[in-house]
Amino acid sequence: MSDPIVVLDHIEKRYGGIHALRDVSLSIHKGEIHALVGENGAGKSTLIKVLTGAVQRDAGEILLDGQVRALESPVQARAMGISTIYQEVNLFPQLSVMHNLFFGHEPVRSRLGFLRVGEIRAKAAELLEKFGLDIDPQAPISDLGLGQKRIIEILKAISLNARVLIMDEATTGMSQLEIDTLFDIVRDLKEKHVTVLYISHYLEEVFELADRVSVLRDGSLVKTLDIEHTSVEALSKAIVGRDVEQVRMSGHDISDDTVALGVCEMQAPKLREPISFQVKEGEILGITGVIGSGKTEIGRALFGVDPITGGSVEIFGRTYKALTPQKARDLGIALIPEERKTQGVFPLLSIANNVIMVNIKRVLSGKFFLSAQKKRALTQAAIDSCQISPKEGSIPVRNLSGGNQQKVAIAKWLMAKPRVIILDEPTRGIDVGAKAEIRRLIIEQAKQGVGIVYLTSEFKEVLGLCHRIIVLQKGKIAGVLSGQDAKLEEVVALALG
Amino acid sequence: MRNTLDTNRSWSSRILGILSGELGLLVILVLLVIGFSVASEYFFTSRNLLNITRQVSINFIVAVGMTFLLLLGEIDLSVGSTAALVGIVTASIMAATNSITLAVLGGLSAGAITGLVISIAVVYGRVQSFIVTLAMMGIARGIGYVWTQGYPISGLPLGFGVLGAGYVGSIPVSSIIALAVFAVAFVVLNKTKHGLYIRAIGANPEAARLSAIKIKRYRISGFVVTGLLTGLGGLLITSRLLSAQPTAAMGMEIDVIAAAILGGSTLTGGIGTIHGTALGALILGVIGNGLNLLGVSPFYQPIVKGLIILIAIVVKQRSK
Repeated sequence: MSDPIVVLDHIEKRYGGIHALRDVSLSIHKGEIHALVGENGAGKSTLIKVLTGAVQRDAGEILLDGQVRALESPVQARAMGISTIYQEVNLFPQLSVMHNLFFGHEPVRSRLGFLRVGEIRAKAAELLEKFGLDIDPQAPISDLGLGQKRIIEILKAISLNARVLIMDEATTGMSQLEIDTLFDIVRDLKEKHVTVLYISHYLEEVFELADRVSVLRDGSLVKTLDIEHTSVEALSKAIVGRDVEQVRMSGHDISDDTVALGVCEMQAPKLREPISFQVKEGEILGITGVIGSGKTEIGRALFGVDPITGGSVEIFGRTYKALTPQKARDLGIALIPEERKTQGVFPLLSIANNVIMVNIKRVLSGKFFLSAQKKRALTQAAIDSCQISPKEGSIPVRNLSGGNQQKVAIAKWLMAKPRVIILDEPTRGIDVGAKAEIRRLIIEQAKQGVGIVYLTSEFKEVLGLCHRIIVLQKGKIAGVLSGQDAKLEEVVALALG
Repeated sequence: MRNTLDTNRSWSSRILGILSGELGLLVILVLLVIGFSVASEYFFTSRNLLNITRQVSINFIVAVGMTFLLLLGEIDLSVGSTAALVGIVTASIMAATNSITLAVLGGLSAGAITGLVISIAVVYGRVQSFIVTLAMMGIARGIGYVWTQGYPISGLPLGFGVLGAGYVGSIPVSSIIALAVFAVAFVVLNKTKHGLYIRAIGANPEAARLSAIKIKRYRISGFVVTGLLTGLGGLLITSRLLSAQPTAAMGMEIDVIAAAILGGSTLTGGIGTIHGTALGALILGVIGNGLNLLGVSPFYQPIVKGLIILIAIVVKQRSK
């Protein structure tokens, strides 16, 4: 059981001046679940791309079953039994589950290519049943939830006789329930002697699932450990290279009862009941629940993106029954949306252009023209406020790491001097170091009197950060807890119970 | 096929890298000019070069509008039909009122109104611009035929001919107009809030909405401006011939889109520059002019142009 199936031997890879992989040697045992962890930019994605043939290594060998392989393309890799599941779902939403499962290798009748639909349906049903899944093979993929889609992707790999399954941040955006189901399937795979390479930011998941874990830092393999011989703290330290303390809120006083934002029996899409709550100036209010429980919709309604279908919102004392993004911004509300790349920033544009996008009035000279000088000054202020790296305003945002992209999304709104900031999943897909920085930023803003609404599906995040926690379940408020005293079990119970 | 190792790029891949982007377009333009100058003694004369600028001016002016639309992630297939229609409107007003000023104003308004109508269907009707302008292509052309019953409107006052065919010294008036359009468009796109928003909306409409930008007005402006510039193009065509033909500018949309795409704009939005479009238009113009001077049958020209566009796009893609 502990003979290697995949061996990476002295792998080197450079991208121009960046040394992405430095002399990485790693041996993965047959049938194990091997986790790969590291900060963004540590080289995890590059290593996977090298292993799947998407990118060519500069030096070093890859051995499969003891034999050196060229691995020049993903097609070759897949033919050798290496399959990958990425963060983004790579299925065809309009096609049915069964067509997706067998896509590329459908059973056909005669050379003309007529699909044997009956056979496809039967085989799909068989596969789904083998893993105990209650999914209709003829349902379109778009009907499925994110967790189910990921599972279909895994089944697709199985049907292709994958021997090594690489899962790259596969649980992003999934609820705890979906993750549990997914993990059951992965453990099932292990019994069927499939080797799994599991890349994740979530150390708790790694401990739940993996046999061994390898840590990458700055392109080098720091160490490989047996899970039983290490701990979350030890791994965190190895990932970051220094001691990481959980950034906690000091519980500063918000006895000042100026209500920044008051929601009064508000109704919006996806909310099952009218909702009421308040956020005071300087308060950090956490709203948490599983994915689809309605948190994102609350954020969007407060910013005027989704319509308010009932009730009203009170903003600094004045009541509003309808909002638009422009009105919300003028009233001092900022929204940092859930999807960074498609909603939070403009990846094609530079950091500077992203920053001025919501602060256009501050960089105008006259009514139409942009002042290059004001633009430079504001960009510099934004970069400094959130410690965005690299510090060059002309870099297109898509060239930044995930953590820095998120900082741009936040910094541009900070420059608008908001009085209420709504953040939707702000630390999703971000490395440990950047997560801590963002938490610090939020606490700093709260200390200056800004009201914060923190929307997240990662229950642990709200503990120790928020003054109060509202737990949603299926579009209704299930409970309100005090941030300082709340325990994780209470939050989970309310969210899932 | 192996990916080239990034650190040891072969010389061919380095050249590909340089050739993509606006610098590459300039290089191609210079190479073409050198090539044609060597092949024909008539090419590299100030008269001929100025002639080229006159020949591309109309295409370029309309292509500027198209660039704005492509940046917004939209397109306008009706520019040829609209240009012809504007010509007819202009000529009719001139025939009726004998006033060149009124006719010009009327023509430009007709262009802008066409753009406005398109924009309402696209922005409020939520129909894709490809489909709306495909329909408008037929409708505008049809209106032109009905209005003129198929006959050209001729006998326009000579003074009107200055716009399209006149010269200031040795410089063609339409080239000056094109230059002015270039300057204004360049400044608007790169130095104003309007230009920034247009680039943003095309690059990422969802993020633009969440940045509290009033998207509708900028999308509408893209179509209206294109209508206006198409109108200007139609005016110049009519001025050049001193006659408004219902069959004018057939297929203009192809040349206009070609100039913009060659210049670096994409169909998906967010990418494109005015100077790129200018280089694209010049390259197409140089090819047409050069082949004419060399006596190459006009039948071959579309083939050559098409191949150049194809090669340029492939080079761009490969260098990524």
